[in-house]
Amino acid sequence: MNKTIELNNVVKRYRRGTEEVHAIDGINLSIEEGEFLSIVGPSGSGKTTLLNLIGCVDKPTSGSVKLDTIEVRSLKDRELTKIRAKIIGFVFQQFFLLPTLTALENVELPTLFTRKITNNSRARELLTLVGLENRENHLPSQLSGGEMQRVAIARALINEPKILLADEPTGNLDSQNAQIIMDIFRRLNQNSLTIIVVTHNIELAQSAKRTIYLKDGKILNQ
Amino acid sequence: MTFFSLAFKNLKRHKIRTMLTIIGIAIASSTLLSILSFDAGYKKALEEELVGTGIHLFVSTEGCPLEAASLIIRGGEIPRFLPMKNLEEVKKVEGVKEAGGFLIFSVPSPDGSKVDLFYGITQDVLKLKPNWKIKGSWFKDENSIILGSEIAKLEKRDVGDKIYIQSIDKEFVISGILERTYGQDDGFYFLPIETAQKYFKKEGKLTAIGVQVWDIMEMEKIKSRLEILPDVYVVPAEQMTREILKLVGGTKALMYSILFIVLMVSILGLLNTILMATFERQKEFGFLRCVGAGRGDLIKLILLETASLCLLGGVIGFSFGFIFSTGIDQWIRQFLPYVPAGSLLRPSPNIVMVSLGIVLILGILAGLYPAWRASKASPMEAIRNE
Repeated sequence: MNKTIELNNVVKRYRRGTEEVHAIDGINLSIEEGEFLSIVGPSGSGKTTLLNLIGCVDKPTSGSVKLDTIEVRSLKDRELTKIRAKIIGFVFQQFFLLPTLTALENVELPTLFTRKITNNSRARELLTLVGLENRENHLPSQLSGGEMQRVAIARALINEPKILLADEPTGNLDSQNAQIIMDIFRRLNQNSLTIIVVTHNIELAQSAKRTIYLKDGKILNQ
Repeated sequence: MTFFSLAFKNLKRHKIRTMLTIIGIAIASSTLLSILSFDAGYKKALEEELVGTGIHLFVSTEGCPLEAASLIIRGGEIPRFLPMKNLEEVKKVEGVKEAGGFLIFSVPSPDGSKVDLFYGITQDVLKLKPNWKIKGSWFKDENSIILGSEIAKLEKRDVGDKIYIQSIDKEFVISGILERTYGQDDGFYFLPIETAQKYFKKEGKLTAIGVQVWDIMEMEKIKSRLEILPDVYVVPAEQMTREILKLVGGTKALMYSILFIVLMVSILGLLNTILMATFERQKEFGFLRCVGAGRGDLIKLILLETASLCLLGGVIGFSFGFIFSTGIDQWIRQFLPYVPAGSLLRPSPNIVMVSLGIVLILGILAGLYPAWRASKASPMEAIRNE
């Protein structure tokens, strides 16, 4: 299997007032193509910082982060933006659906920034994939929380990413909707999509092929 | 989906806020269009009015040239008079094509509700007024009168009717009625010069002489030749336009000051709206950065939202400007020291384009800071869960 993501001795420090916080403290991690990884740990353990680094929204203080063999530490903002647009799909706890766009338009939104010309068909396919083919013209205010998260997953897939990063994707959902999301993740992973999930949801964490436990910026198990 | 449709849909989030901002821009746009239309329209109306007089040079007694010239056009009294013989002398000056004499008096009605303007004219005046079409005929005798079209309409009189003029307590027979000139002439009573001289006790006197020249390129030379005549003052029509424009300059400056304030208030309102929207959407911008939006994309989005507001406000404002231009025209007239008869507000496609350009440029300038703030949003904003 190819290594999609490789972190070598990654350190991330930042200042909070006069205090220096060691958010990530010398992490080594390899994630292979098609892997389903969950990251768990207590609050403040560095889960989100790790996701930021893997998602190219932050750079390490030291160490190396490679995505598809590209060393991201030396990349400029514009190049990081391109990687985020083409290689990574994001799913957030808060959905971030634009309230004035329909479900279909929300799914299409990332193509605006990659300048991909679409004819809606892929967005429709993705809405069908997440079971929302009948909701494409609904505004977010007309959808349930679970449906909104499914639209957000479809949106994360629109640019055909290699990696899906999900930050507490079931954090705002009831158990029934959380189960639907987990099922979708499993199906996507069966189709070789690399999925990394930060979660407090034990069931979701257990449905991953591998789980890493973070504490004080360090991985406790590999 | 396009950036424009996204920007437009974003404006629908806070409908009331968006609507109030658009109203502000519409008021500013309407004011801008009206003032720019006035700027162009006033000069044109003034020039048309002067061309309508058919006069290139005004000859009067020494005094304020502006006063003399404006009185010839608008009516009014000058306490000093030219002798009638000056008219013949003027006609003989080299380069003079036509010359006509005027004796002008304004008389308030007994109840003081209006002022009647009387023009004693020589027949030469007909040659100076190529646009005059008289229904009926020239004066038949000393009791004849020619009415301006508005006067005839107001008094409901026709050719051959008798008219009693209360302000001078005299009855005339209407020999002719001027067809509408769309100038000041529409509001005058025209009398034979001798009648006017006799009635106003100014036998052998004229208020002024209007002169038409053969070649306007020779105007300066002809003016110098006329100035040799004793006690006369010669004012070219062009100079009169300049003088009047100078006189109106103060009003214009006031209008531009008001415009500046209106534009500033509206642009600050716009800045406030966009800035508030930008602050509220920092997390959303962070999310957009996560899904591939570059800093330039966010700048573009905010500037398009700003431009959409300006465009909508502009279109509404310009429409109102057009619809209410007659009302605004009437309102502005009260504040001007000299008002030509023609339309003062003349909005044209060019003026609309210039106004729209100004509104868009100012709007985009107001959107620059919020756009810059939006572009600074970190993608980490979206991932942070607190």
